[in-house]
This record gives sequence, C-alpha cells and structure tokens, in this order.
Amino acid sequence: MERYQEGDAGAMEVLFERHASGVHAFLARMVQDRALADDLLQTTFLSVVRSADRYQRGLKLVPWLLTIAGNAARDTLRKKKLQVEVLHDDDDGVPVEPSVEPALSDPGQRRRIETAFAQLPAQQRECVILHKLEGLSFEQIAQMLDITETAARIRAHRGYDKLRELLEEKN
Amino acid sequence: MTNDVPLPPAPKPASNDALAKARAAMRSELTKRRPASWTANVAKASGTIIGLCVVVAGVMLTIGACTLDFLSTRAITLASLITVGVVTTWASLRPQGRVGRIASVGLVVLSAVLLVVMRGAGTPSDSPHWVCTVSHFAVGLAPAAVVIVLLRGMAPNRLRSIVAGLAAGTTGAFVGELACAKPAGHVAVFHLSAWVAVALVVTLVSSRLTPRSYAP
Repeated sequence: MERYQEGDAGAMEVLFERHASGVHAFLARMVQDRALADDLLQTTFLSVVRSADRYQRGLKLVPWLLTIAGNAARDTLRKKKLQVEVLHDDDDGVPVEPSVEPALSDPGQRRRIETAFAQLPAQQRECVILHKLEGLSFEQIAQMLDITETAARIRAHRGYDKLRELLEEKN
Repeated sequence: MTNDVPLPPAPKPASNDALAKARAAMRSELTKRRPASWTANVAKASGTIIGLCVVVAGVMLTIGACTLDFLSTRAITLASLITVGVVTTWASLRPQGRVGRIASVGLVVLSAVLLVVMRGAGTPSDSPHWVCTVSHFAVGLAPAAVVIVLLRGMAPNRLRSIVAGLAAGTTGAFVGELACAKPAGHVAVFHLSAWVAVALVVTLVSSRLTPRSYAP
C-alpha cells in the first residue's frame, strides 16, 4: 500500500493478488450471499484505489482492507434492508448454490450452524467473524469499526451467546 | 468460555470470474486521475467556511451593516467560530479519529456556550426571531453541500456526518455574531437551532447517498 502511495501503480496488482481471496471469504461470511460478495469485492477494491491516501503508514493492511469490506457490506445490507436468507432447500426446486464448501462431516450439523450464523444480526456476525475467524483482537476490531473496545467485546459475546442459543434450539 | 461455539466452514473461494471482474474494475479505476488527498479536502472545506465568513463580513462592512468597532467587540466569539469550523472540518474528514470527533463535538458545545454567555443582555429588536434561524441556516447550506460531497469519499459514519454538519453550521453562527445584537436567550434558541439544523441536514443527506469509497 505504501508503495502505491509512492507512485508504484503495479503495487495495487500485487495487493489484489495477495488479498482478494481473503477479502472475498470475509464478505461471503458477512453477507451469506456469493453473488453479493462478488459485487462487494469489486466495491472494496474500488474503494482501496479511490482512498489510497486514507491508508496511514504503519497500519496493518489486512484489518484496513477488512474494515473497508465490512463497511461496504454493512451499508449494502442496511440500504437493501436485506434479510439474510438461509440457504434452505428451495421449495420450487430451483437449485441454490451453497455459500460454503460442503463439509466432509455431518451435513445436517453444517446446515444448522450455517442457518444459525445467518440469523445473527450483521453487527454481531461481523464481530464474531473478525474475532474468531480472522483472529483479530478486540482492540483491533474496535479501531476497525470505530467503536469502543468494550462495545466490540459485547457485540462478539452477544453473537456467541445468540449462536449457542440458536444451535441449542435446533438440536 | 463464550466463544467455543462452532462456526460455519470456510466459504467457497471466489470464482475466477468474480476475481477477474473485480480486477478489471480496479485496473480501470487505476487509469483515472488520483483523487484529492484527505488533507486537500480538509483545506477545501475549511477554505469554503473561512472564505464564506470573510465574504459575509466584507459585504456587511462595505454596506455599513456593521463597523470595525463592532467587529472588535465580537472578536473572541468570531475567532472561536473560525477555529471551531476548521477543527471540526479536520476531525470530520480525517481517517480514523473517533476520539477527535467526540472531542470536536465538545468544542462545539463550549463554543455555543461562549456565544450565549458573551452575548449577555444584548439589544432588543423588532425583527422576528425566526429571521436569524432561516438566514443562518441558508448561509450554512453552501459549506454543507461541500462537506456532503467530500463525505461521499469515505465510509458512512453518523458521528463523522454530525461533526461535518457542525463545521458547516459555524458559518451561520458567524453571521449571527456579525448581524444580530439580540439577547442571550435569542442566541440560545434561534441561532443554535440553525446550527443544529445544518448538522441534521448533512447527517440525513449523507446517510442517503451512496459513497464512492468505504475507506475509514
């Protein structure tokens, strides 16, 4: 990113190669919709190019990219008032592409987890993804989401609690 | 432990088509002129606010609506409004900086208290109170338009929009210090409400626009 800021346009290609897949995986988990995640990937990298000067030297790049992706995802979900739909078997028989790789073990359990995860409010889901799957600290999450560390901690823990509750209901 | 719950497996990797589409869009964007830096945008918005205040003061001096002596009696509040305008502009447009934005709201509150306290008894006038509210609001719309455009270049954030709106609203409050001599109660209600109204308009409009960038 710093190389791009210094005028090396090729650096953005390298950045894309290294991080596009990770950003897409984050978006797919956030919005639970592959097509929307594809669009948001494009939006994220357009934002990176348009706002390269807003990247401050010394910042960790991945959390910065995920902040942009998360902002785009949240805004899109809010504007579309999109209720994240769970990938049930389609009643009309139209095949729906699952958003995750089929797991080798218990497909029923996989579906239950996926269903419960999709039912989390977007803010809680985002904190859970960033904390548990991206391995970020609450301090980093707070910086990314422009909230306090306590708020980040509360959102994530409410997400875990809600997820456990939903899974217990389904079991 | 609260986080020992199972989570969904890894999503399917992005398709080659999706990656190619995103890469092509990025390349196309790279061929365009680089957008202005955030510091240039702060300078642009601050310049609009200061410039508008200077123009209004110049016009009022030219037409005899106020005098240099009168300006000197209001020097403290006028200077504080210019300072608040610049600081809040910087706080609203800079990357990250949540603490700075909260602090700048505090600065606005202090400045508003200063406006009311410094006014004191004032001089009663026959003109309707609402004239001040409407005129201050109208003056604030030009810098409001500038900050709304600039806010599109970053991720939507309510606090950021409020602070940007308060920055734009300082111009109306500045006009109030130049053109109105009514007492403190009038300032507290009819001047400050215009300031808040400009902030609300910026917040409302910017929340409805699609940003050009989602960078923090």
